Amino acid sequence: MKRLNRSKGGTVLLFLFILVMGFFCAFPMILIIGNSLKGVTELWKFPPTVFPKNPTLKNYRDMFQAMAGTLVPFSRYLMNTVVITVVGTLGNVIFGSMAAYALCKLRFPGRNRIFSLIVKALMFNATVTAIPSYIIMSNLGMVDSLWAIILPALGSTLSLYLIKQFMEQSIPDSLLEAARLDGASEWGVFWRIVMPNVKPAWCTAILLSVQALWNSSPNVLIYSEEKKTMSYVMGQISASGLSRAGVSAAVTVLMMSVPILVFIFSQNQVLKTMAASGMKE
Amino acid sequence: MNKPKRKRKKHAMTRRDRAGYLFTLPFILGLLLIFLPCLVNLFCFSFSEIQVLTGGGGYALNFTGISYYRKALLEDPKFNRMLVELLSSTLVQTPVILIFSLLVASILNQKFRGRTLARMIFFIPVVVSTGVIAYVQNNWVSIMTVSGMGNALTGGEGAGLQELLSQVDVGQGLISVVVTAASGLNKIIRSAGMQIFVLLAALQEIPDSMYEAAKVEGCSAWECFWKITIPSVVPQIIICGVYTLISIFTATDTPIYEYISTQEFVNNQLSFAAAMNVLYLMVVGFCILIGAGVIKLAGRNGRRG
Repeated sequence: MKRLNRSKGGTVLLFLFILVMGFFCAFPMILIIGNSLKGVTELWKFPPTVFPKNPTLKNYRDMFQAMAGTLVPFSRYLMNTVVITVVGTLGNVIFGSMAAYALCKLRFPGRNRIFSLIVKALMFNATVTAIPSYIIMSNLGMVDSLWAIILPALGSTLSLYLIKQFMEQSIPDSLLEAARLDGASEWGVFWRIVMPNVKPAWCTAILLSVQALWNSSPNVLIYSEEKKTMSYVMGQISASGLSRAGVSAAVTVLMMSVPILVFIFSQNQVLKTMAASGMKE
Repeated sequence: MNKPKRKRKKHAMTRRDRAGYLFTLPFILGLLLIFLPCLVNLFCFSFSEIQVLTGGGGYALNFTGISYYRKALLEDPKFNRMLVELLSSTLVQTPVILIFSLLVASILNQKFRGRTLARMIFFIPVVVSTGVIAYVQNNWVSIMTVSGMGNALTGGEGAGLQELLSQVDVGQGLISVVVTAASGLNKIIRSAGMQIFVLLAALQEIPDSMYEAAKVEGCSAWECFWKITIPSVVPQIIICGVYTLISIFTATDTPIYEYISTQEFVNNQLSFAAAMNVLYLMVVGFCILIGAGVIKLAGRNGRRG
């Protein structure tokens, strides 16, 4: 749909549409950022203001003060979250791409059955399997360790599914055959030919995984204070009722800044790779 | 004919086959060690009474047959109704979300100033969607018009400020219609981010030369859209359809999930909850199968037409 003959009025209408829809997407974020800069009186005004009239950093100061007074040093929570996010994301994306490559391009017996099982696992959400997974984690001896969060995240099948679909679209078999003829091992083909070509797919997978793991809060599986995550302690800081409403907004801004940074970085990558992809059959 | 084929298969464990198994090994292990036992446990729970053992810990299962399924389907006043409600709203939402994302993706695919920014904005709901921000994303329309900021920031339902509405001179009915419409639109946009992105990537893969050739042949933009764009993105529409269904069904903020987890964690009705979970999963699986089939069929017809 590029530069087709269209009337001026149609173009204006389309962009008006995009503008309105974009507003719907961006507004909640603007609202929260605005709120984090508001004083108490302005926060409770009705109708609500979007941009603060008397911007103040008091909410952020309060937040840092609360962070300094946590039960376990704050850096501990941060470290836990970072470990979970980094290990979980890397493992998930690498294992996911490996499996996607094998299921998509290596025609070994039984692969369809494995894939259908994996797709079925997509349908489950954490609530469904909460109790059974607790029992299994307890059998594996992983209750109250970070692995209880990391391990299930490694097997998140959404990224596998996305990457596999992308591979099917963008990697011709002939390219792989050529690489094999040149003497590349399966791992070499995967790592040096396939992975660079499905960069958009794994960038998206990284993004989704980081988003989920960064906000992961410990459930029943973790009870030691020193193993809890940042999202948990931030929830504690902001969950002290109405008087903390502003702090809560500040906490939200801080927590969402990391996924947004990752997004801005990977978005750039994704677009670049898409524009440069000369991989057409 | 069958025999020699089977024989060959048995012998031909090629290097590539081995690589295939090795590459999928982490996932197979995960499935075997975590996912399948979970599933088996869930089934066992749903067919039995769970008795927590005191002293040494652990639990024992007493087989009860399908009584919990009967309870969920025949006795429980809410489960059936919630399931039907969820399915009917999904039936409406899914096609709307798909059409909407295709529309937005094809506009974003055109060259205009600021399109990178526009693309990023549409992906925001995917990137940040937990905690307070999720609440605001879901409810900002009513926050701005009806309930005020307080509820949003504390995440609670709390005291609505609806009374304030009565002080405004506009008719109540009109406001509520506008608010409902805007909230519905908001919901669709909020769940379409990923789909827009996937479809956008697919649209970019269509070579320009195809459109140029069609133009030379005298095709209108409308014809190009139906004869070139749609058939080229059918595979991605299927992915998006499945993704949409899955994200609707695995959302934890639906009434049915809240109901099941209340039974599970608050009322301690583990077996009852397990039975409802199994039923729910069966319905969901069935829907996803049908959904993918319908989209595939529609795509094939579109390609032919």
